[in-house]
Amino acid sequence: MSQRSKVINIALLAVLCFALVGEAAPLKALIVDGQNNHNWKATTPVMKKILDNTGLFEVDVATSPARGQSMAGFKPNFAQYDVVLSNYNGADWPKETQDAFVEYVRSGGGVVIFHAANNSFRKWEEYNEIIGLGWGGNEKTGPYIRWRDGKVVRDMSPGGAGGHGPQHAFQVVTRNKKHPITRGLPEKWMHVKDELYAKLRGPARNLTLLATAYADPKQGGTGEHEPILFTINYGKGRVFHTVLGHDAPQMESVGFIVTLQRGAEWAATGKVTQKVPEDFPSASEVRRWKDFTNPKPMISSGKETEMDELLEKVKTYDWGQSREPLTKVSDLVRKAYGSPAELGRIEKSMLELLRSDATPAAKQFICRKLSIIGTEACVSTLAAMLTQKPASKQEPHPADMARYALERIPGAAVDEALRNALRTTTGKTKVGIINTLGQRRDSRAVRALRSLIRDSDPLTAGAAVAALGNIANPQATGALAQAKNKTSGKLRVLVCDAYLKCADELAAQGKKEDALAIYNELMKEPKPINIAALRGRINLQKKDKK
Amino acid sequence: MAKKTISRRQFLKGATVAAAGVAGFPYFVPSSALGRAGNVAASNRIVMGCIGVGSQGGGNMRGFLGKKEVQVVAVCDVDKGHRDGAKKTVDDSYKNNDCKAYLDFRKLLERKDIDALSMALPDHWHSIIYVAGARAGKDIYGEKPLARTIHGGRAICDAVHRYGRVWQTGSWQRSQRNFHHACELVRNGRIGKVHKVEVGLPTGGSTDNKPVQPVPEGLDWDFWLGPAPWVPYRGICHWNWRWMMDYSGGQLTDWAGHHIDIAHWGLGLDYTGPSEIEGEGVYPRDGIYDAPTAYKFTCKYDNGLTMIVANDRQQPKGMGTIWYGEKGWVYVKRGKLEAEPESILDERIGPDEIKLYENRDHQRNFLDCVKSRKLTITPVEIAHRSISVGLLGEIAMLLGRKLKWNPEKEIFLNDEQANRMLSRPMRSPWHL
Repeated sequence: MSQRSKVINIALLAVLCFALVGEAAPLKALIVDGQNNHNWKATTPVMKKILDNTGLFEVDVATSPARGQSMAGFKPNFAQYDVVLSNYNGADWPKETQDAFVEYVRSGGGVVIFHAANNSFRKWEEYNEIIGLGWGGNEKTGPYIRWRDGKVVRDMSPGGAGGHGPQHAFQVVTRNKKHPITRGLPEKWMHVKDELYAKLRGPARNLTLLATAYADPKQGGTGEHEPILFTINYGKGRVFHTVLGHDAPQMESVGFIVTLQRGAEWAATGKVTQKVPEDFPSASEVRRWKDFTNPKPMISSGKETEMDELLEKVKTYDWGQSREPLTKVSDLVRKAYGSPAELGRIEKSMLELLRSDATPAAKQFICRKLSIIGTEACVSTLAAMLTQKPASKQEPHPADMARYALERIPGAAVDEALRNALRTTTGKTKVGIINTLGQRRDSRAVRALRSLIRDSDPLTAGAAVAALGNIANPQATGALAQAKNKTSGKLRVLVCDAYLKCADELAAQGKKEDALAIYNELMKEPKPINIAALRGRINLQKKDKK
Repeated sequence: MAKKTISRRQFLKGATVAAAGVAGFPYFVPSSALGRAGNVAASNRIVMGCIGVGSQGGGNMRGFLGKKEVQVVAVCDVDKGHRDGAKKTVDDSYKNNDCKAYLDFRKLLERKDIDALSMALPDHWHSIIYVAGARAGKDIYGEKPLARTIHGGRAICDAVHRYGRVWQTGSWQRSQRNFHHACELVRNGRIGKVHKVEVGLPTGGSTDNKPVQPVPEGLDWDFWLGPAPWVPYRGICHWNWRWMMDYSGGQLTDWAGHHIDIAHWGLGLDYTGPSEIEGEGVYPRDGIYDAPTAYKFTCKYDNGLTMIVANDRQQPKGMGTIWYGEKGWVYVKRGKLEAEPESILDERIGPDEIKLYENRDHQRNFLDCVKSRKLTITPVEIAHRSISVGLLGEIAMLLGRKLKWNPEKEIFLNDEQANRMLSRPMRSPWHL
């Protein structure tokens, strides 16, 4: 923290405590750019947006004169900032500016070194001390920093500094789980397709290695675990160095965004107050935030509350009333598409509403939403609704509402819950569950469905037959073949229809003999089944000709 | 969820479709021979039942009543007013009291004497009732749009093909001279290769939050709702169901079966669909209607073509279909046909050029095909592909993102949520 803001903070501390509870004065950040062999005009706005999204920073940009022009007038006032982020790789700054920068860091200023900023100022000794590792040196510049056999190795072997293979997505491994920046991050996470900087060397004094990535020789790499994120302590100053982020698309990487946000806060204050988002990338899955926007930067006081407040209103919604709160919930859900973490939080709140004394109209609305965004997390709440009864005829049946969601939610847990509910339900509720199992083509339901063909309730028997026709796997086909000769009247027609579907499915899979056998069998049935069977046979012959 | 093997490749080429429509089936033999005075021998009449006999269905029924070769013997509606009115219209026409009126369509479908059905119901009922009609062995004149969901439409196509039924969709614009001529000009390259087509459909509206109220005498509200989620009656039912997404998709899906259908016809895209869809809809934020009032979405086809579907206020030409080619454009809507250069409008289609199905009486075409067993001018697969564009646009707008679509397999690529929207769970006991 700069001297100035320290003074202000102390002076205003008492006022702030009362007037602005929970809202600290913003940290002041400065991005320096203007020359770079990289696309600084695109990446600086992205950096700014990433910092803005934390809600912690007030961000300025200092742009130097263009390459080849006089640098004499370039004198950013570093001292008034809490953190300076360098997106600069170009001509030397004036001596006065260099000295101001070194003094700023030495006296406690924060610095973030971003990607190609570590290519800059190869002959400026203090700068190289500040960045720790960079490009363009040799064994005289300092060691390579490598992670070998579970520890940091300072490798003094001779050779050049800096390089990378072709861009590819790679896994980053956290090597220091206690540092504020990396605390709470998964041990391994995927970064998007980007340059994997290798062979960096430099003074590397007071360097703390936070994360590495394996530079695979198959990707033109060194075969070493190369430093990706690290910090330097220079005087009282804190430096966070990330080698990631070649261009704007690479900066969509959730891992990049989060480590930059945390690194910048740490450089400015020595602490990290931000939470690790739930959708931080896993060891195998690359994750991006479109528009570089953390979908829930201030989650604890922001969106979650907005949704919960709306859901409180939805709880008492009844048909005929204004549906504005419902519309607003739909808006928030739409905004959350693409963020599994955000959707997960919404899902959780919605499930709470379903378990509450909310109106049937509210619960029906929620089931419509869960039908699209629900996951297996819904199973127990919705399965409980399958066995509930409506309080009157003038409201939707809870089982219909639950199935509206369950039918479209993927997962074996859903199938299992539905199969279990077959045993505990009767009448129309059971028919609905049978229909849903058929829609889901749950092959494990065949055994239960086949016994339901003999059910004394014609609706139940008919539904079981139709479900088997929709499932149409070999077991279902076999069940229908047997049922055909044991049923009569209307049910037999339904069995034949379902059996025809199985034959069509076999024909589509190229199992002509099997399909033909069924068509031949069904030729003996009365109209219109025999017509359909004849048609099936003709279609098979046409396929043969082709 | 397990995916079913696609079983319709044999239907996807025009020539094969025609052959498939005829092969293996005897000429039409009417199921019954009810006595009736007229020019057409009783034994040669098509016996028809009409399901859904409100505004559109009533109009269709009266049209069929005017055809000598048709004998309407049954009507069906869940509203007693419609039902009784339709029976009276039929009986007055035949000067007898023979027409049977049904509340439950399943009873009507059980009748063995009925050869063909005229059906006009809210969209959310289409898949169940069209499939049931085909399964009962009836030929069908069914209203557009074919179905409320893409899976529903596919199930209808499968059932119609499986049972070898003759199908005509109420997309009657294909039986109009100006639409036919426009499409033949475009198909035969009169404006060169087409790179863009704009389709303008009506703009929707909104209303207030109607209070819950008693169900009118004679309306079986629960049956009317059928597979849709149960809600209390609020004064919106006949006709205006189309502005509520439980039952329809608003002006977009109401008109997709017309002007998108025509756009496909002119381009020879009757048996495929777009591969990319992206757009934006404006939805009423309050009130009982929830279908989009304004909408605009862009479809990209694999051949490089772009189709922009929007409500008329967002289209340069307003309502209708306009194809833009290398050499000019053709614009068609009801009662209008324009082109640039204008001179192509006078050009004749030569003997060696593509001739599109020509017909000037939509209902007669259905009756002719019931007898000949040939394909109608708007067969079921074409109707499915026309409404699919509207339904794909609806899903893309609801999700608010670009979707990739495989028109062959009929699935979205890499979008699990979008794929959920291809079908809708049905209220018990209804199912496909």
